[in-house]
Parts: sequence; C-alpha cells; structure tokens
Amino acid sequence: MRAEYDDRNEKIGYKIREAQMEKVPYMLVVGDREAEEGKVSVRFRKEGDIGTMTLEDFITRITEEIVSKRLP
Amino acid sequence: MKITLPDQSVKEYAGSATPRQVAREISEGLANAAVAAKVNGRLVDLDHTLTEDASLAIITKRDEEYVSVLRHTASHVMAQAVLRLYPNTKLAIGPFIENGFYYDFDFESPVTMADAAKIEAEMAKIAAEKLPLTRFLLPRDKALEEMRDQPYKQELIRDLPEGEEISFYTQGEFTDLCAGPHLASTAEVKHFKILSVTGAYWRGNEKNKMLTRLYATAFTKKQELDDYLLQLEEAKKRDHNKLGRELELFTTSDVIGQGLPILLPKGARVVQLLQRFVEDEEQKRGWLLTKTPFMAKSDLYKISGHWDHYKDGMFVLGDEEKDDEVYALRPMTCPFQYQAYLNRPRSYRDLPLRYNETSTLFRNEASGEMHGLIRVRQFTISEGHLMCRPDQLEDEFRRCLDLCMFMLKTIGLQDDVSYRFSQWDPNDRAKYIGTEEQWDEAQGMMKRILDHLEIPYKIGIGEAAFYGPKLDIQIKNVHGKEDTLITIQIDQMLAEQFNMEYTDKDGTKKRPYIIHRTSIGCYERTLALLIEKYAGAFPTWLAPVQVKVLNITDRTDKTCSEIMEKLQ
Repeated sequence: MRAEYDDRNEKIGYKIREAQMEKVPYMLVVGDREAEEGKVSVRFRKEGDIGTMTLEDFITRITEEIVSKRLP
Repeated sequence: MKITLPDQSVKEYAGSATPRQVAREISEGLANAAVAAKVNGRLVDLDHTLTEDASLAIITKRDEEYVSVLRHTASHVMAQAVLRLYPNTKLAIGPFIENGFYYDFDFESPVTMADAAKIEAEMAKIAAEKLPLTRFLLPRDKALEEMRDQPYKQELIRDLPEGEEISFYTQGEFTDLCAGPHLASTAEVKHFKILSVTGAYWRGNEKNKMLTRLYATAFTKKQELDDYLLQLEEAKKRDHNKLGRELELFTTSDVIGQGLPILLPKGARVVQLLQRFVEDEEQKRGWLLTKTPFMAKSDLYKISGHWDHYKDGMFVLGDEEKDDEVYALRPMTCPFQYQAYLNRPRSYRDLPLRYNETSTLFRNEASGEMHGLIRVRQFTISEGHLMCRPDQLEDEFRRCLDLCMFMLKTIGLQDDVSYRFSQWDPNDRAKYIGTEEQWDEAQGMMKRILDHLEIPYKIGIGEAAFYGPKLDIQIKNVHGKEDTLITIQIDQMLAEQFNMEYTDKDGTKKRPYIIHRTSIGCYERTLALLIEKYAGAFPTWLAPVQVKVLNITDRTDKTCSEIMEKLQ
C-alpha cells in the first residue's frame, strides 16, 4: 500500500486540510484515545469521518477497494 | 426549383427565390420573426438567393441556431468596438464557433485581457445604440475599394471566385466583409463576455503573421451566460494543465522544450500502475510483448511509407544530403513489430499473432499545438499489431475493441467517449498508399464489422491513416476540445509493403491482415483525462498516495510508525 506519515508538529486540522488538497483517499488519524484502544480514526475523502476501526478492518476495506479497482 | 421545408412539404418556384420570400408566403408572422435561414444545413442570410433544389428551414429566436447568429453579430459588434478604441487595427476573420465566437485582429500595439473590460463597455454602447445591420453586395473591384484599409480582407476578397458578387454587412460606421447571416439589430447583443486573448496565425499557417485572437461568448439570456461562465470556472479548476502541476503529477521545463513533459514521482506512479494493469491484461488475452528500438534507419520508413507520407511528423537524425545513413526516431511501432513477424516463415497455424508493446513514440507536432499532457512530442502508448487470416479478422477486431472497452470501463471513461469511423478521401490520393479496390475492401469490411457490433459511429472523411481506415474512440477534455484516445485500424497495405506472408493450408503464400490498435490511449493523455475526470481525486487503486497517517500528538508517534509498517 502506498502510505505516507505526516509527523510534522502541526495542528491536526491543518494536516487534514493539506491531505484533502493532495486528494489522498484515506486518512488515518491517531490520537491518545485511538492509540489506547488499538484503533484508527478513518477519514475517507468526500464522506469525511467514517468512524474508528481496527487497523486490520481498515486494511480489509481498502484492499477490497484496490483489488476490485472500484471507481469513486 | 423545389424547396423542401422541415415538415417535408415542398414549394416549387419557376425562377429564383429567397428565404425571406418563402417565409412570407408561409405567414407574415414567420417572416417578421425570421432572423436567418438554414439551406441544406448551412446558415445563410434571409436574402440569400436560392436557385437550385434545396432543403430550407427558417430560423427564429426559438431555434437553437439563433444563438449562433447572435454570436456572429456579436463578433461584428466586438470588431466595431475594437475599431472605435484602436482605429488603426487591421481585421482578419471573426466567425461563431461552438459555445462562442472569436475575432482575429492585427493590433498596432498589444491588447491583453486587461483591455477586455474597456472593449466590453464599448460593445454595450453599440448594443444600446440599436444599430440596424444591413447587407449589400459589391462586385470585386468595388469590394476591394470598400476594404482599402484592410489588407487581410482584401486578401480574402481576392480568393473569392471572380465574377461573384461579394456580400457585406454594415452597422453604423462599421462595415465588414461577411457572408452572414446576422441579426437585424445590434440591440439583441446584450449578454456577452470576452473570455481570453491568445495568438493565432493568419490563416492558421505558422509562416504567416501572428495575430491577436479575442475569444468571447454571447447568450440570449443573462442566466445562460452566468451558467456558462460558472461552468468554465469549474472546468478551469479541473484543467489537468493547472491541477496536474499543483498536485505535482507533472511539470515542464523551458530548457527541455515544448511538448516534452516531465512526469514527477506521483504522475509516474499513476502511469506505472496503468502500464502494469494494461500489460497484465493484454498478456491474459494472448498478446506477446516485444521490445523494439526507438529509432531506425530511413530504410525502414521508406518501406513503410512513413518517409514519403509522414516525414514532416518525424524527428530525423542526420542530414540526408551529407550522411550515408540517416536515422529517425519512431513515430509508431508498426514497422518494428513487422520485422519481428518477418523473423521466420509463418504458417496459417501461427495466426493470429498478437504483438503488444508499451512503446515510446516521437512526433514532431507544431509548437502551437502543444497542450500540457494532451498534445506532446514524446509519449508512451500501449500499441499492438495483430497479424491474422481473413477468416479471423472480424473476431480479432471484436476482441481488440473489447479490450479497449474493458480498459475504458476500468478507469471510468466508457460513458465519455464517442466513435469515429475515419475513412480515406478518394479525392486526395497522394495522401495514401494502396489502390481504390484495396481501400473499398478494407473500409467495406470495417463497416460490416462496426455495423454488426452496432457501434454508433460518425464518419470522418480524409481522417484515415495513410495505410488504412480507423475506428477512433474520441474523448473531450474539460474545455470541450476533442482528441482521439484509442484507435483500431485495419490494414492490408503494409503487409504488402513489407512482403509479409504466411503459408496457408493449401501450401500457397498469402498476405496476412493487420490490425493496429492501442488499448488505453497514450499514457500522458490518459493521465490528463483522468485528472480532469476525477478533479485529481483518482480511484484508490490509482492514487499515488492511498493513505496518509496523521498523528495528533508526539505521544502517538510510535503507534503511527507501527501502523506505517503494517500498511507498507
């Protein structure tokens, strides 16, 4: 999977906006709560926040989308 | 003379007639509402003289053609405004086009978009003056006298058939050489906008002077103009030439040259993904990959006919007069793959033989044609050449088309295309190789196949390749400009040129048919169309970056790094 990590010391809102400008399909937002629960908070382009899930569930979802070459 | 009206009723006239006369005979109301006429599909003035059998439609404000007439008159209003503001300007041509109109000017000093508001204000004044437009005819010598200050118009007049009466339109102090039709008054030109200022060569020939073209549009209603301008704004945002650069998919460099884009890592990634997908799919469908050279001696192109028919489009290395051998970069892959076919004798059992290649090609397009990733001088394309027996041709053509449709569907462009059956022009024989019989046969066969497959095509005369007819799959960019994305061609001429043959069942030597095809279009152009289609938000499988991990705080840095590892 082609992934990038934005670890800059910037506000989360700023990082999200920038990823949106770059038209990246998925964003995984990780704060204290997510780290503690072993989950990731997922944002999906137009739909925005689609909730928290385990990394494994996210990988299943995106893999299915990639393999089927689903169109937006 | 018989005049057929849109309702198929026929009016007969002993001598000549004009559309205005015909309209009046139908009803006084129609005559009053009429703005122009359409004769055999061509827009003409109401006073146009009809002398032969023709189909005729009277155009009123209610017809969709009305807006074209409005735009034509708007182009005269713009020219009038320009002459009022810049009196020494020389006028070239000013037609209506799809969605608008333009006028080409030779200005004394440069005019830019900064001057547009001033010109628009003058146009508004001319509309407010409600100037009537009147048409008059002059013989050639008087016409040249009328246009004594306008050298471009004089050149146009000299090109008209001698002895023909030449048509002019006048509004106020302004007169223009013009076949029409036009509205009756400038008062109707209310909702217009100058859109861009670009350069354009006189008569489209780069050896001529570069003129200044003002593109503009006009609509019947203000709302329509506003909607159109909004649509243009949206299109601009999607324009791959802007968005593709902003997203760092590609760039260009003056020291590299025009039409030679640089794919940056993100753009190169998308192209790589497309290429892998295409090559894998082609392999599944029985295509055999070749890798052939990027250049060849002129000998190869002399056999193929490219040297005689396409040399202007090629980059030639060396000087024909001085050097023993001259090379040229390849503009297509066909002659190279034919050499692969000729590697050993072929039997009917070897066919169909399907060669594909992800092929980089070079074409010396005119510099004025360059546009982002769509019009380029070097590009990479999934080309294929298939040699088959006559009995295999239809099925193989269908399979090629099926491959293209599968590609288009996968990238989501299948509903955005139209089909063009590009045929030769029998009146321009020098452009083509082969005999009339061969062309008739190849085109007849292609027509049967296309009709059988129920492909809804339009015919393009004179658009065939020099060696055979084509099915072109056309697509429009965000600005509405149409280009060919995919092409499938049937060719029986080049097998002859290259002496390609196979031994048939009965032991006789025969010529194979060749199908030339692409499968996804050239990658640069396809990337451009995908950028515009999805406004840069590619389907996830093609996205250069699919996931971005964002930490909210340094405390989750370790977790994020672990997530990255699992993702990659």
